[in-house]
Amino acid sequence: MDGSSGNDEFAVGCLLSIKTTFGDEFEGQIITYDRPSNILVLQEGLKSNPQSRRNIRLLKANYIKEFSFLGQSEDPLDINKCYLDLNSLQSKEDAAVRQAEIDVERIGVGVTAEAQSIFDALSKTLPVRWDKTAIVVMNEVRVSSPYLAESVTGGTPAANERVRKVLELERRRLQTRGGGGQ
Amino acid sequence: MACRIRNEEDDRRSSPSSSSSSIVNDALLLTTMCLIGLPVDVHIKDGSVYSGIFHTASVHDSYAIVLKRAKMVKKGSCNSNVANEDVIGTLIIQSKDLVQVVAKKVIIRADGVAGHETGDDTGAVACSFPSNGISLTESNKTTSKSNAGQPHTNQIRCSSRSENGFTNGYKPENIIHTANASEVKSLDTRGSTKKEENLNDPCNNRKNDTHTSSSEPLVTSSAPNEPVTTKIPNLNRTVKESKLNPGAKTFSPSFPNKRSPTLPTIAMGSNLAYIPDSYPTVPVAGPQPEVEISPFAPHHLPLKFVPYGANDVQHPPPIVGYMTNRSQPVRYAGPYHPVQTAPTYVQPNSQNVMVGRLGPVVYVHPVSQDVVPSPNNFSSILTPHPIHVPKHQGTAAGQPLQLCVAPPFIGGGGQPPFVLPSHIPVSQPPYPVMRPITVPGTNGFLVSKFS
Repeated sequence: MDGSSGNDEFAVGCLLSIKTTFGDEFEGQIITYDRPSNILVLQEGLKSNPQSRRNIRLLKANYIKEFSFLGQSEDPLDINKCYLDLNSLQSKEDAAVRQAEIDVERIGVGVTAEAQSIFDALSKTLPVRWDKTAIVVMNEVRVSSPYLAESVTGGTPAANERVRKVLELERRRLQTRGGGGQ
Repeated sequence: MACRIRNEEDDRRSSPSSSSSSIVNDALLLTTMCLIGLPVDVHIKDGSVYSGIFHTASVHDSYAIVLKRAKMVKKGSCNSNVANEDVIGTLIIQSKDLVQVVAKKVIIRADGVAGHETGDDTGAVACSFPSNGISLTESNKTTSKSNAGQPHTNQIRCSSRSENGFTNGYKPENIIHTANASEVKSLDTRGSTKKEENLNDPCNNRKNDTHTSSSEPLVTSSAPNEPVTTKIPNLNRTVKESKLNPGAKTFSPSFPNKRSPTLPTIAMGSNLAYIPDSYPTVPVAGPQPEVEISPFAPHHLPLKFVPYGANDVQHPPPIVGYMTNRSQPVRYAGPYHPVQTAPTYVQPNSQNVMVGRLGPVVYVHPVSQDVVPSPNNFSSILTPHPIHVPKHQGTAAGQPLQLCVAPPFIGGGGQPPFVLPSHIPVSQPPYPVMRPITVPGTNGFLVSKFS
């Protein structure tokens, strides 16, 4: 049926093991195959609870290098029982975008991995943000480049001292973690 | 909700789906919808992988997707214009580049997605009705919108003036007419009219405002006939008239010609027409002073002024019929006499025209309007009008002229919408909306009677 991929029509519900031209290998059940776009929709994680969340793959069928038939199970999707709430979809997307932006804010630009890990560690206990390569804690204390206790500047003495302490503790924790890993 | 979603999807499909084969199937569409807002990894033809939030997808012709906050997590063989570490606000991945979309921990099950117990039932409904629902919803929306805006206006107008009904009916036409209209003129007229009207009467101001918006198109339509409208008062009048005119235009192209001659004569009357809260006076005065206005006036006149309208405008005819029942002739005589010194001949013409036109107009409506309401409306309108007229008159009672006019207006208000639809093929979609609106908004009485 599908000339481009050389495959016959994909039967909905088939369990397949697929290897793509990029080397990905996975198993999944066919949810649907859309011939116009040549897209195969698969879901993974069939062994788990049917109501649980599954990985969904939309795969262009012409990038399937090879596949093997593993079995057949019941129709995975009853179109007539599908229900979408557009509002919830929008709110979901909005929330995701917001979260993504927040996450982006948390990533320092042009900083070392160590600096980022320090930032992440500080963020667990204190409100922090990046100001270029400097970590700004509580909007008043700045932790600049070497990110050592000596590089903590600004803020009230109490705040400054608190940031120094947390920084030292977090550094120690990071070191021990790194050491443990090694 | 389900219906809405479905509708949108269907819309997407339906427009391109004339070639249904080019549209993705339902399951893919559903899956796509379920992915919206989820973080996904998108594999590209060159081997690179982008991670982002699934924003939307094109399901026409080819399946392309849009990611928000996308970031390249694996660099492919090809150089792209995307820096490796930058976050891309919106990344469009075209169909030819798309290899795979991987979303983790997605619930595609309808119940899971919706989280609604009613999911099954609603889902079924949505599925079965998608196409229908869409069209319905759209029409409903339009109708509801028009109704929401118009009915109120109508009611207001009814209480204050008869014009309201017309404006409602005309709005759809206006849209259509816009093409015809010389917008500049209409705009000028609007501004001037608004100002003047405000000065003149608060009621008028309201009307004008509403009219201006709705009437503008109308004006524009009429405008072509009349190149220039210099006088503000005239303009105001013209605006009102224009509303009437649209109806007239819609009714019969041929009429305009007749009207134009009559209009000038009418124009002869006093400009002050505004003063008479009732439209009859207004149309006359406005058009008369200014030749330019005359075209508008004729149009307006029919709507606003029963006598004039009858003569000039198509609307009047229906009104006239009603009017005649009520002994409008007397009323006509009153308004005309003062104005008419010169235009006397116009009156006869108008009257004659009115009679002849009435029949034709009525026919046109039913014929042109395929919609069920139209025939019913006509029949019902005719009967109801007498009733309406008295009521309106009662409301309008303050002004004798208005009283006379009002009934026609009301009738016209109900009718114009009908008429308009018939005239303008394009407007038909809007009309259905209009009709429902007109019926309820214009006359509660009529509706009950009709129904």
